[in-house]
Amino acid sequence: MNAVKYGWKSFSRRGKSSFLFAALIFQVVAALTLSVIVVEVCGIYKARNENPYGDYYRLLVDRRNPVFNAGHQAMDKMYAGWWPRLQKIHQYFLDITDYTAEAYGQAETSLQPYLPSWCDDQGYFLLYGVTDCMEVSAFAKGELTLTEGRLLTERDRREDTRVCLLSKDIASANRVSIGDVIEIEMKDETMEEYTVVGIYEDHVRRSNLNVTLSYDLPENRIFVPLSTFDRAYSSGCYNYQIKLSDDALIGEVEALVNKYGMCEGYPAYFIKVSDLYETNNRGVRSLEKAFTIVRWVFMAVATLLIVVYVRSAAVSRRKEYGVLLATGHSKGFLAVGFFVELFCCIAAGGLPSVGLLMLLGKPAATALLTATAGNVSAEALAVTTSDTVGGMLLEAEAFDTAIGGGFIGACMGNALGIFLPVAVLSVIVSLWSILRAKPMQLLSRQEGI
Amino acid sequence: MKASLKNIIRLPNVFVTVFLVVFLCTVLILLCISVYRSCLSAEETLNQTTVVTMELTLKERLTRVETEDGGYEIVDLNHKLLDGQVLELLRAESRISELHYICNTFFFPADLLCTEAEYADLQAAAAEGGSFSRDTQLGLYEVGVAGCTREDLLPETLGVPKEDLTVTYLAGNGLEDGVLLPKKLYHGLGRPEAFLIGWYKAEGYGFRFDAPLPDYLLAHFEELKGKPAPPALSVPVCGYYTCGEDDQAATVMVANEKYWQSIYGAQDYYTLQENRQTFVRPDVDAFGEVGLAKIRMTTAYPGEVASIIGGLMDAGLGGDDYLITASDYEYKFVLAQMESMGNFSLVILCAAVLFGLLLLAVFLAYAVRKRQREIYILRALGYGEHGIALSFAFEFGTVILGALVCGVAAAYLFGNGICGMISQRAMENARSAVENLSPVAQSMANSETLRDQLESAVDRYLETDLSLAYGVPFPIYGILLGTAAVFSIYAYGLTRGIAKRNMMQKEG
Repeated sequence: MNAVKYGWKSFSRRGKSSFLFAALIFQVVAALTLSVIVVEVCGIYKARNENPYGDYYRLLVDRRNPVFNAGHQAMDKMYAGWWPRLQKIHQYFLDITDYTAEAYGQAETSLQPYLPSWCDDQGYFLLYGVTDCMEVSAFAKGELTLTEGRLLTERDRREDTRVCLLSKDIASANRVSIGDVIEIEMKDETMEEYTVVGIYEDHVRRSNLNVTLSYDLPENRIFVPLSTFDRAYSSGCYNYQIKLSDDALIGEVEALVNKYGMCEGYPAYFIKVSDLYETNNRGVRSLEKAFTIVRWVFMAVATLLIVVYVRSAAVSRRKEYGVLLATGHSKGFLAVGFFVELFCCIAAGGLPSVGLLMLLGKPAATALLTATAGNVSAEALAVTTSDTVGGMLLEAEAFDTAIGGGFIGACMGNALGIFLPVAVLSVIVSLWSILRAKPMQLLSRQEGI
Repeated sequence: MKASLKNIIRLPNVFVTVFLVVFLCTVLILLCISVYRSCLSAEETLNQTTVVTMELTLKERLTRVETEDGGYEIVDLNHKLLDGQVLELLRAESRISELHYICNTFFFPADLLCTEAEYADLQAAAAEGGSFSRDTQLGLYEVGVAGCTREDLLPETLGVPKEDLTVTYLAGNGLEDGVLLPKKLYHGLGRPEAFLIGWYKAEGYGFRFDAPLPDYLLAHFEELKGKPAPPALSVPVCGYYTCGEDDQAATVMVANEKYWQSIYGAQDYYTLQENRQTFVRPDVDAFGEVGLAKIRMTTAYPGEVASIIGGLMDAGLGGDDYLITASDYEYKFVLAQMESMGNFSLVILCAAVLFGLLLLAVFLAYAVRKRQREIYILRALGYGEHGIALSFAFEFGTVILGALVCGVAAAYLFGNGICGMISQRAMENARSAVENLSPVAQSMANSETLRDQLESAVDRYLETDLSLAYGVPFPIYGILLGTAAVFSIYAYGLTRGIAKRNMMQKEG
């Protein structure tokens, strides 16, 4: 207890030097946390582009009109084409070991669809076939979230499980819950039974202005395994991806798709999914690397500062320590006292830094993430359109969700988790050489040595 | 003072570090400020000199619907029209400076067309109750009328590539003086200076009337003469065009907005038998019924394009039906290069300031502590605290000031060269964007289009006056001097703090 008191007194007695050290700690902790935030923000950005199907080939269809819209990318560039035609690719090629896609088509079910007065039709659902729900960008971005049950997985498609995912509005309007069975009409007009395994909610406030068909409403979307689309009516397909036993065959597949105009005559290409996302991440990788280096530089600076400070503080106090040791105080007393003093300095510098980052961390991280997302490569840069402006608003909401909650706290924990052990280790190493000396050695040493 | 100067030379290990820190930081700070200011100035120039063109079109919302015979047909579910109300919305946006548009093409029967001479003959024939014969053979059933407000929109209006279109204006005429006829029609009508949208539409196609005019037409002619609306619209011809092999375009005349509207009104009056015999639709609005194909607008606020588009969407041009596209790729490309360089220099500037202040504070504290013995000896020799502190502050101040002056001189001498190197490097980087296309872009069949787009953006960037040059405002020098003064005072404070202590308590 006396050692703690001694440490506290020592801290308050040496106001100026304690303040200086606290200021250094403030800067180091702030800089370290900021660099951690930058690296974590890069991680969030990369996570948006992550895809479990890196070794698949995705079909891209180039719908740019070379005459009047030179260079303008059509918004539906990822729209692959008519599903029934694309399906035939599997039949031609035995070496396609797997495929995934997002196929969709209008459907009737035993449920009552959401039908607002402005819709022109009698009410239909949009049956949406997927391999893995997390592959659908609306789920991946957090616009659609699961409220009950589970999402559809690859296994559902492989085993052709008759399960489905309903929107919360439809489930509550039709009083359907998890485990209930609904009927969905197939293209041969038979009704198939599907078990509700999940209920999702749409978090994005969408404009219903000018929506005239009920199946355009997100509430009327029913997710089913992609295998269902062998039997269900489907009109189109997004994100068609295939996996080959031999990658060298991709050229043949591409030639076939183009030869038979499977994508409405537009030029079609297969790009490896990992290449596609690597392109998106290209810009952010250098930023991430740079700030990972910055983080280690700050660690080195922190270590250096602590070592220099502790060493010079201990050297300048050796007579004081010599006297204390000569008067019967133990080395442990000195060590504890010095630790307490340093702890006070670190607290005095670290706590304001933590407080400041709690206040400013979120807006800074949001701004950084927005800037990172906006900092696209020259070839990915696109003209501004009303669709991209709308997309920017949705993305801003998604960023807000990603950075909400305990993101800043986690970054701070991460930074302090690195800083504190390094600080403690530096203090121990620096003090060790002083405390192992004998009292008389300390008292008789020359200054400046 | 002499002793102080000697001290500076005597203790190189103390002062060289301080000198180097200040010198390097000064050079870095001045260069970064120069680069940042150059980027800001170039951005300002870019914003002032760039005019972005935006286009408003209707989106297609195609869907496949089942037909009665079991087949499918593709229909567009978007029933919106680019009409007068849309134009009003655009005019209400103050940041939009120019509005030009292409009017949709409408078609009317070719036999509504005649020349003034033919019309006079027809009138005479009608008055006499005799027959009228017309030898003109146009070989067309329908004539289309497209509209546009500016000559450079002609290719898009006709839907033909620019290089295929040849326009010949009649002497002294422009698009605003009348309509442009396809060459075949122009010659078919006998190279007229004006033509009429006539009242004499009769059954059948072509223009040959060898039979006497029917009674109902004669009666109607008499009836029309009593009406306030002119029975025939005279339209001046300003020239003719050819457009290669495009047969569709060869049947379409192009009018400016005024004639496009009046021709629509006239053909509406005559096209339907019921119309001409029973009623006249007053105030026929071509905008509201045919609509526009595309509206092109310009803004002198390239940085606010997203906000302008957002505002228009909020005002009613929702993203589900309307598509607004801004041709701001080059602007964004050039801006991205400048912002990236500006931000990089800003980060380096912040780092130089932060680390400079930090290191200088630490080194000064370390240097003063290192000279404790000297301070005590001076005190023992009878020098006062104030005097010792002043002399230390003078020494450190001199070194800091010297480093500052050297830094400013070095930045001034080599600044332009370094800025030129940075500028050169930035331009090489921009050029490399074209050469290093990603695998995705490279594998696309029309990657040439993307390459062309990038090349044109790079050219625009090279044309932009981004000549980085050394230039620092005078207040910055003042701030640097002020910082030097603050650190001298800091050194004074540190020295005085040590000198104040009793020699016997110095270790505390």
